[in-house]
Amino acid sequence: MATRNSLTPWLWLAPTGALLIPFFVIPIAITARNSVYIDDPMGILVPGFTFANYAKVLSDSYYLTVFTNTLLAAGGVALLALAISYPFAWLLAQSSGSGRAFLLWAVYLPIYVSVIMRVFGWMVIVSDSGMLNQALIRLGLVSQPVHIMNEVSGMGLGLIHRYLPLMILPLVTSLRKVDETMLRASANLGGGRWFTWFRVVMPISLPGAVAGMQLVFAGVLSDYVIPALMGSTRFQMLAPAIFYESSTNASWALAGAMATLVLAAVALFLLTANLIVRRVAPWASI
Amino acid sequence: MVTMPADTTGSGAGMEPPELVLDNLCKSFDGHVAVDRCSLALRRGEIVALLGASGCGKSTLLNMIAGFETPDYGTISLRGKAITGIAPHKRNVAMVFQHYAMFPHMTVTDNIAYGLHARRLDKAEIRARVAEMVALLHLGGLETRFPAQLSGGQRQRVAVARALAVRPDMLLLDEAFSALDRNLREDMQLELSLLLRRLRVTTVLVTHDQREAFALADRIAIMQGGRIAQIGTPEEVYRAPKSSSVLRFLGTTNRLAGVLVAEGAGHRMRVPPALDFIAPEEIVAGSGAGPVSLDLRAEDIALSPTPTPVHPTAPGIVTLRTFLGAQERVIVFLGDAQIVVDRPAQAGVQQLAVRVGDAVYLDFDPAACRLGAAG
Repeated sequence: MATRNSLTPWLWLAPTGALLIPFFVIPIAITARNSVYIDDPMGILVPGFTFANYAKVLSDSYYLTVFTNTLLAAGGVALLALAISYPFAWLLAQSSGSGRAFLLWAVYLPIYVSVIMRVFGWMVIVSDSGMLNQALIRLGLVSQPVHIMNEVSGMGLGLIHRYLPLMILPLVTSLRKVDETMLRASANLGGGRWFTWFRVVMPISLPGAVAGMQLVFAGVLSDYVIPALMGSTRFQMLAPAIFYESSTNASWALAGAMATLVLAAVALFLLTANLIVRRVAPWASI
Repeated sequence: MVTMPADTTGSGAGMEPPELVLDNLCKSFDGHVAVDRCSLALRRGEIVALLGASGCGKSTLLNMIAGFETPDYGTISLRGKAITGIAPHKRNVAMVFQHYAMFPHMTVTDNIAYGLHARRLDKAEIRARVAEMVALLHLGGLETRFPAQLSGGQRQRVAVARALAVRPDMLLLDEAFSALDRNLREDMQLELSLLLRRLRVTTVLVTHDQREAFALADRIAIMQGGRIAQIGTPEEVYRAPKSSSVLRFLGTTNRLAGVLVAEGAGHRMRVPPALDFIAPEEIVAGSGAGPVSLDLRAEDIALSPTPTPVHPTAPGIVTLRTFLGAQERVIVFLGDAQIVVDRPAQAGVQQLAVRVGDAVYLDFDPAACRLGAAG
């Protein structure tokens, strides 16, 4: 019996492990290993052990710009997504019955549509000859089309659209902890609308807001499709740059160093955010 | 102009003006009348219970005092000031909620201090008042705990401390004990009753539990169908219920179907197959001759081995005897009717000893009955 008991948890983990080890752990290990190898000019990866790739990525202004661009985009999209999601999540958390079902459906629906299809949808709306520009020109508000597609703004639009559900869902979960009687209790004790928001609603929703921002931040940091299809060549993002480095330049070691650095950045960000939440919202982990 | 409602002169009402006056309050939701012409006045330090079944309008009345609902008609004034349309956070009325509505992200200290921060008191004052409340409600040692780390009883103490910390003009208790188990509930009721009397806190409590109303209140307002059916001291509403519906709400009651027959100047009450007695005029009141229902408390019935003036023929049969501690409950079958009789169970009480299967006659004072519409 004792042996069966000690083996049981591992058995439960077996299906997950069978999927994650070959398709997640091993590729990451190979990428990390590649990052210390040496890129041969002929495009062959030469085994070795050097930090030259990291040194190049962290000193070359091109790569640094790519990193800062990506961090800025991830941070900006996360903040914008939070600002956009908050009122919606509040409405969703307060609603019930069919209203709630409809709002949730509105969150889930885009997830069912492939990201490529969504990009085409945006093209129809915001390209130079798209619906938006035609309307603006016809109304006489602008004489030249406003460039959105393949600009930073277009990429931002696509990224926010793609990651909004990941922000809304954890936010709704935490905002649902603020019930009607809690708001009544606050009013009853003399708390006005703003006092209640700052002292009750905001602190209780903080863990959800942080969880949402973690998901959006990590998602944007590694997103390839949206920057490639909707972004600008004048604002390079990390995932397309890594792809370019490995496939076009065949610099697998350099690409490995970039990927390892972005993985470390994500891990660091998640860890710090968790520590901050544990510190400012200790009640959430009781 | 606030007119003093007629039924506000509770026993012992002093000369000082009333603290809280509810005048002719009405409220309906989607055409359903929740509160119907309720008037009530409380003097300072008085504890009044709104007692009724769910849906009787007691919670709506409480929510109107707190400001969570606006009356369709009527006025509320507190300490001589009209507060009918004032927002909840501008009334100095504190409430203890049914499930306490603790702020889960705040420690005990921060929960208690919440209303003090909202009132922008200075730090030293807040600290002093929190310490005072912690001492008053025996919360020492729990100051840094979160609500999730407290027991039900401790949570209730924090809820009371949080409400009293703001030194409210009055306190509202909304089914505040219903989440506690019975022994703890009775202890807390006693403790809170003593505390509120010591601090002279004017209190309205809402409950469906008559024990709770009896344990805490100076006066009880029985609410039925949105109206205050009767208001008085616990003894008054229990001993002298104005209607059969009030009687039925308090204590254990037998309801029997009978016929009221005119006889000479008065009436005779017949409950087939065996009860037959002259009905005193004070219980006949509005009921005319014809089929009526008769309500009688279980504890108002005695058992006799021989025919009694109210039960002259056809004895009932004892079918069950249950020991309840201070009382015993005897079930007597009288024809189809199952009669519940509660009697003292202490040794040495002079009464007929009964066993299952015994033939017994009921005995009671006809004045203890209340008559209602048949049905």
